[in-house]
Parts: sequence; structure tokens; C-alpha cells
Amino acid sequence: MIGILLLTHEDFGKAMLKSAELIVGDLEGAVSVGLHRGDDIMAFSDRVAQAIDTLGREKDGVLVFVDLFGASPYNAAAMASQNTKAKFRCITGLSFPMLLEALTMRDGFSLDELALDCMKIGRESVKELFQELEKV
Amino acid sequence: MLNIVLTRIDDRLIHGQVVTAWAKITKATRIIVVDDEVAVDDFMVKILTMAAPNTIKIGIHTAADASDILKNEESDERVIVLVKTPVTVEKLVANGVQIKELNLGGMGAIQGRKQLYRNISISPEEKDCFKRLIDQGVHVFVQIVPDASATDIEKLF
Repeated sequence: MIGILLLTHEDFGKAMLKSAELIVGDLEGAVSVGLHRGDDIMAFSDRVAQAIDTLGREKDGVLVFVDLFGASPYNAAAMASQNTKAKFRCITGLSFPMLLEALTMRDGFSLDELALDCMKIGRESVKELFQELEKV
Repeated sequence: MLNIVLTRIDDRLIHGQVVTAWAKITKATRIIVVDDEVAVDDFMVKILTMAAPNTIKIGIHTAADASDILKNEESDERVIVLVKTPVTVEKLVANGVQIKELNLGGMGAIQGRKQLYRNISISPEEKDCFKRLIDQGVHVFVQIVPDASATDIEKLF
């Protein structure tokens, strides 16, 4: 099973997993690691590498989501890529629709396919209420 | 010599909105990251370049090379000097780079360091380094983000 790892500032990812549990139920193989104020970035990057290798031990790979492109969780994932054995992809701009897609579709796709699918869903899930009403 | 608009210690170096915010408020056009270890690590250089705002010129150099650049290049650029530790600032100052103001933005909690304030932890050696810089006339202040008020580091010792 493709592992899912959220890397975020503070507990954004942890809270999102809790919310996802309400809708999807099974959170097996889905983990969040938060970067907290005062944490050392290299230590965080080590924890990220460990999490990736643990989640990816079944050889299906890991889909990593980070909250923000170019911020510390993202940089840590990039640094971790030098120290991991498991394969992973990393998508930025973590959103709830993206996460739900990953959790519900991971059995049917390969890692690369799942990554592309989640990015597509992430982009397409941004709509506006009154615009949608006009379309009806 | 180049116009340094901000010298900042932040051991996360370039990360997203934080650097963008400081660059905006100082109207910086160039970032020079100074670190002897990072400058020779091609992969780290790649990561930092990737994370930097693409409207700003970015360079990552050893203390020796950065000293040369800061002292000898001439241009209209407004430069942010970004380092991980006060030790690097001491090297720059020893090489003749003019640094009068030093912003302390973040130093992570690792072995040997004790928390000084919020996201800033320092070791006894680093504390001594700060004191030596202060003795040389450098004003060292803590200001994590531009919206926060600046606090003299001596008040936190």
C-alpha cells in the first residue's frame, strides 16, 4: 500500500488527518510529522527520512504532501531524499480534497499515477459557490 | 563594496514566506547565503536555489568567497546576507566586511544549545561569539519576523 506522509508547519497535518478520519475512516499507513517552532531543521529532516523509509517498507513507495513550496518542511523533504531508500514523490500545497483523494485512491494507482491524480484534484477542487450556481 | 541591507542569522536559511517578507521590507534585490559547509554541498545549493523567490538573485558562498564579493563588488544591489551561526558573521567581520547590525531570526534547538528566546537556542560558545561581536561594535538584535519588535540580545542573556 502506498504510504502517505504529511509534512507541515506545526500541527496542520495532524489536524487534517483527524478531519479526514471523519470522512474516510481508515488512516492506516498515513502519518503526519509537524515542524514546530524552535525545532532544528536537520533533526526534522532525519525524522522525515525515517518516516519515509518506515512507510515505504512495503516497496509501494510513499506520497508525501507538504503545506508550502519552498518552506522548511519542503526543504527538509528535499534534503531527506539523499538519505532514504524508499521511493517517494512530494506534492506541495496540501489541501483537504488532495488528501482525501490520496487516501481513497491509493489502492488503485502506482505512486506516480497517484501523485498526478492528486495534483489534478487539488487544482480542480477550487470552485466558488455562486459561480457554480450559475452553471446549473 | 556592496550595500548590505540586512544581515540575518536563520539556520533554516531560505524558507518560503520568511525570506520573502524580509526581502520585501528591505527592498532587497540579492541574497548572499554564507556558510562554509553548505557552499560546497551541491545538493544543498540546489535546494536553496529552488526555494528562493525567483525575483531575487541568489548566491551561496564560503565565508572567504563571500567576503571578497561583499568587499569588492560594486553595484546598486541591495543585499541580504544570510548565515546559520554567529561564527560565520565573525569570519566576515574579521575579513573586513562592514557589518554594524545583526538580526537574529532563528537557531534550532540541538545538543549543546539552551533556549534563549522562542525559536532561538544558543550554545555557550555561540554566546561568547555574540559577545565578541558586540564588543566589536555590532548591534545584535532578535527580530524573528519584520512585524515583530526588535529586542537587544543583551537583554535576553
